[in-house]
Amino acid sequence: MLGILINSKTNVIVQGATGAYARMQLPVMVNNGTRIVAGTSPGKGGEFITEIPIFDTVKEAKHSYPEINTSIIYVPPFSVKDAVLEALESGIKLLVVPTEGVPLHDAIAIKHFVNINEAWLIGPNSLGIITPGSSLVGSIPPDYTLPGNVGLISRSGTLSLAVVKALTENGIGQSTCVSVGGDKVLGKNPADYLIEFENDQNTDAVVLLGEIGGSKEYEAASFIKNMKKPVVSFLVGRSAAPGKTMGHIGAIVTEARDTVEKKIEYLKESGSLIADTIWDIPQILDEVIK
Amino acid sequence: MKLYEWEGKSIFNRKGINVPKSMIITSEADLEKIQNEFDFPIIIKAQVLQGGRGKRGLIKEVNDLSTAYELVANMLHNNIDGELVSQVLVEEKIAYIQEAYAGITFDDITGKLLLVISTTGGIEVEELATIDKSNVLKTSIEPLRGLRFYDAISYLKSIGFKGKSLVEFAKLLVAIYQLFIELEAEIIEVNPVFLTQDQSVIAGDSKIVIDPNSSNRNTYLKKRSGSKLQFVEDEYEKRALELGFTFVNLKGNIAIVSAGAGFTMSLLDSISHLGGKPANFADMSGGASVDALKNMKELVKLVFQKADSDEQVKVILFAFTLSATPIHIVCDLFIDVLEDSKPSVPIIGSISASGASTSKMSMNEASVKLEQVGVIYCHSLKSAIQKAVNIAEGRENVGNFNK
Repeated sequence: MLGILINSKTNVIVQGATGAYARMQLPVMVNNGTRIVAGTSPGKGGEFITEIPIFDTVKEAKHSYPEINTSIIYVPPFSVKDAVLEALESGIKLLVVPTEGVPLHDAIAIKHFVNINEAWLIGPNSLGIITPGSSLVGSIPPDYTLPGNVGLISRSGTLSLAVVKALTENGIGQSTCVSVGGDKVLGKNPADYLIEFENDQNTDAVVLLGEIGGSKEYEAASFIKNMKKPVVSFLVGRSAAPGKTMGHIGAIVTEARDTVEKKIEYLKESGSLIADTIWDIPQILDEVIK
Repeated sequence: MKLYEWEGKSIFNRKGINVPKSMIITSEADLEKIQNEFDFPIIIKAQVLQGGRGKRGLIKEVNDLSTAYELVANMLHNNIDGELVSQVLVEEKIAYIQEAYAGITFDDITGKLLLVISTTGGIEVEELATIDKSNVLKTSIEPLRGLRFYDAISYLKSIGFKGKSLVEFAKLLVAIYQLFIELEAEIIEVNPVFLTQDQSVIAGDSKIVIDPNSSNRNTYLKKRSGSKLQFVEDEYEKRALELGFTFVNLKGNIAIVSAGAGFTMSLLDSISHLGGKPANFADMSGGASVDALKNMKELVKLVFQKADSDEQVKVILFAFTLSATPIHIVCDLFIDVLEDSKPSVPIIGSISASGASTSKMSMNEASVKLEQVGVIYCHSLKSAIQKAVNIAEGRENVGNFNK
């Protein structure tokens, strides 16, 4: 088994498969070898997208394809909560939610249901997850990646792309890259992924990409203290103006401890290595892996 | 999305929370009514969305009508750091014996609601951390189960409340919890909570922030549509917000347009790291629908306008890392804008695209097309940033520009 959470036994259902955005992403996943087994789109049961059968409900799809264990959810923000419940109630334990703009109170409920079902939800507002050479659930371009032994965790989707590309260009391969979501309340936090990477025998080091706003880097730092594997952290938002949101709903400096400087200080104290630019990350990794 | 104090208090009032007797004033003439309605002293509070009103002299106690006139005349229609005061709240003065604190927000790690209560109020929230721990209680509220009345009683009792004020305060906590859910709030804070001699509990202030992601289904926000919910002083920021994007105006020499909050922040940081100064943050992510496309164009124009009109700006940098948005959409968008009008400073561009985004146009095709309209195209992001900084800092000359 390579990497965390997904592998060659990952069998995916695409919820909201007939939307334009989903249709655009499907071939990339299929071409990368991801096993897309079925899709849902209420009212369109019986149709096909390329060769993927479409069902009206997840339950029906799961009945025909009991091997389905993962769902990627391409539905509008207000429909995400329902889609998540539908997947959970069909026994699906790994969910990926790319949708941006999920209401906070829905995210709170989603996290609650994910926890009581002992499931794992990546996102909301995520670019997905890739184990290079094995499986892709989401939109991280496979040709930016290279199979290897570095795990990557990012709050920002776009930043994860720039960094994974820089790693690959420098010959540093990845075990798994995951865009954990840009929202305030996430299915799983960066610290949860650190635990997975710490326990993954194919991962030798982890890159943690964080940003201003919120407390998630503090939680991650507390875990890093006890990790055996080296962690390289890179945080963005030094140039942010206090009180102004820079795009991500979670990225706002409202308290002193929300700033990049304070977070870096704490991560450093916890034993994390710190990169100042994207291009420092491969250099630091070169030193710690060899 | 923050509500004004008076709106919060009228919501509180409808929910059965005691608030001071008050009147909203929009002109000096309204002050005439005060004499019949209120006994002096009264409290006059400017209605602005910015914080720290007490420190800035925007909340004052007044003992007579002529001082009230003077103060209201000074506040109304005045510009406070870019925010126009169009309403002033006049309130009776509450004779309290204690100021307490109550707030509900959410914990971004556990995803649970967080209740904070304190026997000390009227201070900045940050200061709560510094006061004696036995006077503050922080506890999480389980989603679905919610805050029950008997929870509120035992929490308040544990920090020393008793008797009638214990019961009244517990009612207030349950009420703000219910409002938190009904309004889809991010924060509801009552600071201070007044406790009076007769053991009444009165909300002395209100801070309500509503989740912007709920706006299209939020019945409260729908009712008050049209009115301003976000305080934005900058003209560029205001226009970007109307287009549905985030623009943050900064003082610097490199204007920026990009997509994705994290990536754009890293661009700004890299520029600073290399010795340049970002002139703005502009994030045009938000899908590829027809309307979104039109708005993206407007955002690019906005950044170009900022670059043209700001003396300090020496260069424009656009950089994208695409995985889902088709590259031809981004490329054609810049070409369209540039064919209409060329900015007075050089434009550096760099696009990295893969996956679904290159199905209709390759990165090379995009670079050639962009060069044809005058963009200085860099194949690596690092060299694009370096070049922009070099130009901005006068270390490199790329030809004659109007500026």
